[in-house]
Amino acid sequence: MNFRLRLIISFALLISIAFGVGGTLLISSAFYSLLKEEQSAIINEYETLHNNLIMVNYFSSFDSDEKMNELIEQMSERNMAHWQAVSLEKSDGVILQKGDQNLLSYDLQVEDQGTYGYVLINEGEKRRLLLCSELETDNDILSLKASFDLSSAYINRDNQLRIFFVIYIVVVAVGILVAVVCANLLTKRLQKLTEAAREIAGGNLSMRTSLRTGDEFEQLSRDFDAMADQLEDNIKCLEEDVERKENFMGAVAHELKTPLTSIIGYADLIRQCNLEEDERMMAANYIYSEGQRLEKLSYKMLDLLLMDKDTFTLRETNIRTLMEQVYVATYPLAVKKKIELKVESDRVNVAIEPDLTKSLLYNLIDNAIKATPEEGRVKVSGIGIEGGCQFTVTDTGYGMEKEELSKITEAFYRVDKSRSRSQGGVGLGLTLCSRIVELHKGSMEFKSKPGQGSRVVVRLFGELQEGDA
Amino acid sequence: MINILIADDEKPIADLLKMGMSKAGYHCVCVYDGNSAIEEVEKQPFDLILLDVMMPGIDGFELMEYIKDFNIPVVFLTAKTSLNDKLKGLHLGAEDYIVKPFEMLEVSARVEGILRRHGKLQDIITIDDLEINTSAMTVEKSGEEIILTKKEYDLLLMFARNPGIVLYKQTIYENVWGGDYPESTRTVELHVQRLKKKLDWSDKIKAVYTVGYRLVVSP
Repeated sequence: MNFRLRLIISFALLISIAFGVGGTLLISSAFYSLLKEEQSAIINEYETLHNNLIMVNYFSSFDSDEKMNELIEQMSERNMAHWQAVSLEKSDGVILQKGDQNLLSYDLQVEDQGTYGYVLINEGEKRRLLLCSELETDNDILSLKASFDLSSAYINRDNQLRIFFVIYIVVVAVGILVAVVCANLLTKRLQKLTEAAREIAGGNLSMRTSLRTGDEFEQLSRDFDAMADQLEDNIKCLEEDVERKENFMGAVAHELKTPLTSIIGYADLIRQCNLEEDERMMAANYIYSEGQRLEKLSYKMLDLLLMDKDTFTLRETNIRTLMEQVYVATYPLAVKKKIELKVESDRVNVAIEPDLTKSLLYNLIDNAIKATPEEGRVKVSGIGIEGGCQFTVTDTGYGMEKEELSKITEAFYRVDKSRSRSQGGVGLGLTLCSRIVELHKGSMEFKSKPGQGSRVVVRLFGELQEGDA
Repeated sequence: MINILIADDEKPIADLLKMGMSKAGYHCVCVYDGNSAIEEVEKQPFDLILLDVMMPGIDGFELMEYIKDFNIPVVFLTAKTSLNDKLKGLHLGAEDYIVKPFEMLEVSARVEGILRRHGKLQDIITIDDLEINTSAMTVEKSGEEIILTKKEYDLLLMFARNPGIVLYKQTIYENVWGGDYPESTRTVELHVQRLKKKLDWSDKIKAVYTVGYRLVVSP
């Protein structure tokens, strides 16, 4: 059973029970008070008759049946509706009989003299009150019996019940109608939420409910939408992540396939054909250089893989010592290209991962040298800043277009492919750098103009954690 | 002579293709980027273009659009293996699609097929007194027809198209029979023996060590 039906049924039950019980109680209490009233009125009347008879008996000799007859006649005429039958009997015979005597044929005992006995008789539709009493005379005991009609109270009640029944049906019908409308209104909101939940489950993540009803439903709707927003964001993040990984894998595959194609192809030519001496030399040379390229690529890939957060620990490091080591490693590269390499640094201690930072600086300087024609200049500086350190690498090289800057940290992206190839680059240097910067929660900014050289500013931040030192 | 343009930004691969295709008897021109490819196409007529998809500047697909008017058959070369790229290349009117890493024999076989389809190669291959009609699939020696089975014919065609080149048993098996080379099979040896007997070519098809065979042709 669904919520809507349950709501309608409960509401209908509530209305019918409450209204039914209330109405019935009201009617029955009215009925009983009316009945009581009638009954006491009848008893009053009977009492009057009884007393009058006693009085008549008292003042006149008791054989004056005529007088009594007259009295009864008078009283019954006064209230015709009630009087059904009356009889007055002596011990040895009937004094007076009036009305349908069958109505009086009911064995009713009077317990005490001077009291009345009465009984309520139900005969199908007809209800009547039968009364009896005894009158004491000088030499005899008379018994008085009378029957009064009481059905008017019942008829009254039945009429009320009939009217009430009609009203009851109408009220319950209206109640059910209201219940249906209310339930529809309520469940419509629920339905909207349900539909939205289904849509989202089905993959339409942009589905929102946005109910503005100003009640709990609105709150639920807001929370639901907030959840959907979060979900959508997360999924988008995941998708982007997957896409990045796929792109990276695709790029790796491409980078691996290119040298492999050459190596396999040239080796195949050598084994299949009688090559001329110069062709053989060329093929062997390509196998050698492409093999070296594969080697370099695998080392860089290994570096990237090994750069795991688990093995990342910061150590107190002197910038100048570090820069001197980097200078020693990069100096031969600069000399080879007749480039003036200048390094200057503060003598400050900062908390960084020294090996990775060295690798970062090496890659940046290597890039700068590669991007600078002979006789150019590369300048490197390192200073301490609030909470970390800042390195700047400036060159007087070829520079880059603005559109290039956003792509240079992508894996295997090269500004000038043939230049990179001829200088032995594999296109992973800056990817590596950006990972190192990321691990230091730092930043890396490039500024460049074509023909005027480039400048990269790297900021690394590190806090020594207890036990790390 | 058939003139082939090779466009690939990876110099080692462009040179490899040039060396391999030259061995197969084609004249080749190498370019290393899209712009020079256009220059070359405008400068001289080509019978076929081997085109790399991923090139800096103008990439293979863009280039394809441009050289469509020259009506030169194009074979794409790429490391990308996605179906979309293949479809895009073929949709643009490429004749074929070769995925890196490739084998030179495969490239030359495909190139030959395309050139043949375009009527740029003769149907008849002549080796000394042997004549192979590739359209009628008949073999004649000194004017007398020699009946060969399908496999023997395929085998002969492979030798005839790669004269002087060492054909490894594995390569022969993969090209003629298809599928992976079973370790302990003498199928290739037996067929080569029978072919030599039928053609009386015992001096022409030479075993190279124990790895394969070579068709020796007099210069």
